[in-house]
Amino acid sequence: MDFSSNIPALSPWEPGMLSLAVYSVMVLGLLGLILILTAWLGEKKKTPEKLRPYECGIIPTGLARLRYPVPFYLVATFFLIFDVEAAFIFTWAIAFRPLGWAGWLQISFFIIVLLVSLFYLWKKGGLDWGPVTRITPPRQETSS
Amino acid sequence: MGSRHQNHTASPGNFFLSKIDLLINWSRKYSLWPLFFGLSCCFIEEATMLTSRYDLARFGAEVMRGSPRQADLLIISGTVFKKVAPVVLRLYEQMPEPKWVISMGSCSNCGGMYDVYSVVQGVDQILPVDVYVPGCPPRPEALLQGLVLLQEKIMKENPTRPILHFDGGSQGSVQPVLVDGVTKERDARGPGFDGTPLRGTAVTPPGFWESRSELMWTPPPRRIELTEPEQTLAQTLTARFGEAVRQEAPTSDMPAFKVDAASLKEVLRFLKTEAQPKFRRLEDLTAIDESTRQQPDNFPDFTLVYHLLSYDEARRLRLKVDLHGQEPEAETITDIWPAANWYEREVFDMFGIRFQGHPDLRRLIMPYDWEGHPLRKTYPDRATAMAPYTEADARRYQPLDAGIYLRRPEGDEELILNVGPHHLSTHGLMRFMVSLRGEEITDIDMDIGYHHRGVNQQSPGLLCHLRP
Repeated sequence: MDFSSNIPALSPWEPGMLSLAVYSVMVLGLLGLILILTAWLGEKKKTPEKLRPYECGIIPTGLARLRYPVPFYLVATFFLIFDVEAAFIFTWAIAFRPLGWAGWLQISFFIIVLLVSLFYLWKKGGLDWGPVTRITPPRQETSS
Repeated sequence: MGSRHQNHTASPGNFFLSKIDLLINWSRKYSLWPLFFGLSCCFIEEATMLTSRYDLARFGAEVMRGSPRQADLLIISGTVFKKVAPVVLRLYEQMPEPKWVISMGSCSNCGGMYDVYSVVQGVDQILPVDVYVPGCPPRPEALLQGLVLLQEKIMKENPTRPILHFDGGSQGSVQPVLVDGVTKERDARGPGFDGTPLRGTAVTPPGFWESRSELMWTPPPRRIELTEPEQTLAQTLTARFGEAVRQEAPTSDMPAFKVDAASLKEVLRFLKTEAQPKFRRLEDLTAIDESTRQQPDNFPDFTLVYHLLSYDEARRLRLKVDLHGQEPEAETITDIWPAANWYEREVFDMFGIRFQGHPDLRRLIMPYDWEGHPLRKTYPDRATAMAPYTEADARRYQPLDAGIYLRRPEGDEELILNVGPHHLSTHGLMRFMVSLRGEEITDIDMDIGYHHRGVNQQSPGLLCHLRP
């Protein structure tokens, strides 16, 4: 069967285009059928208990949408900064002889600036990350 | 082994629907996903059922799920305590439909031998049960048979109609929750024994009338002679504290002293820090309700008992303190032994004895809103003597919110999380409440008593061989 006369505008590659179109329609149709069938056949009894978050059988306290501690992002940022700079240093090391003393001076300046920034964020407390020792005072409830 | 089958409304004449029923039921019965859930010792047998010797996989039910969201079979394996019953009901309700319930073991079926204040007398009072597996505990084979019975029940369901949104049909657990006195009977005497007295009433607290103990010969109690160092210690105590410390003689296991409540802390501090040898460890702290003694005039209302241990010479010591009145008070010893904290909370919980100066005197075992002190002799000793625990109770008496246990100095940046009672690591026994800042635990508290069978209170009313 020759479909090429029916769809001249699509491309010079008509038969393949047609099968792709048929395939896409079938995929979308099957996906739609599965989604509609499961939505229709699935048992959906929404009770307050079922919609409550599961937490070991206890009613949860508060929300799980919290401000996440900053150190996670800080560490990610520091890694990016110091990791990318390794790329500069490796490329300089490969071209060590052609670049000569001028190159050495430049990379030394680069490394010194890096070190200064490292000490700066060390001093600012950016690397302080670990258990926070908190002395817990005894509970002040009375015995009565 | 029993299964209460619902009268399923067959759809006569509908050949097509019944064939789809067959297909769906056949698929469901070989793909049951049990919740990984255990309350007590029965779970050991349930876990054994998973192992290669019994091989639950033969029945298609080996995929134990950690979350109720993915499970459709709840096997109540073990004693359902009143403190954990709200959790059990929540787990059941958080499972998606259709779902089924197997009640495993005597405790879960009817309370079993734990006819005691802390135990629900049958889980069918709070949620529907499809299959009961008797035994204490049932063997893994018995549970397998229960599973097969459930599969047979599933084959009799008509799920096609509800699935296709037609009227009629049935699927999942549709048994009604049983109501005591209406659809179930908690009376342990069984049918036809209405004329007999309830078991053990003649010899259980607080009556003890017609006790045969005076007529019976019993072997004389064991007596020990105090060794020389023990006699020296007794002399030292007498020399130092005078009449406040009186030696109790004879004794059957270890040197015992009766101490005045006023000088108790002084004596304990002396024994811990100055005595030879030093009794560094507080072994135990408990109390006795003396109100049902046969000669009550010889006894106080309550007795506090302290057991001490010396590491240096492996020596034990017992101190007793008399307490008087119905709301007795004693001084806390948490400043001498921090380990006394939970002991004193337990004594307060069980006997209602208050400890002056205790940093945090609240119930240890029973729920925070429990009424009464179970180890007092006046307390109702049997669950069947109390009002039945119902589904409404399981919705009402919720465990206390974790935010009350933990303080949140960091405000909203900390996540409060419950680990347990239903958790793979705690399996229904205890509940940890943690405060999380990022991945760091900043505060933790613990709630126990989810597995409290009240054996102490139950035992005096039972013959020796019946004591659990």
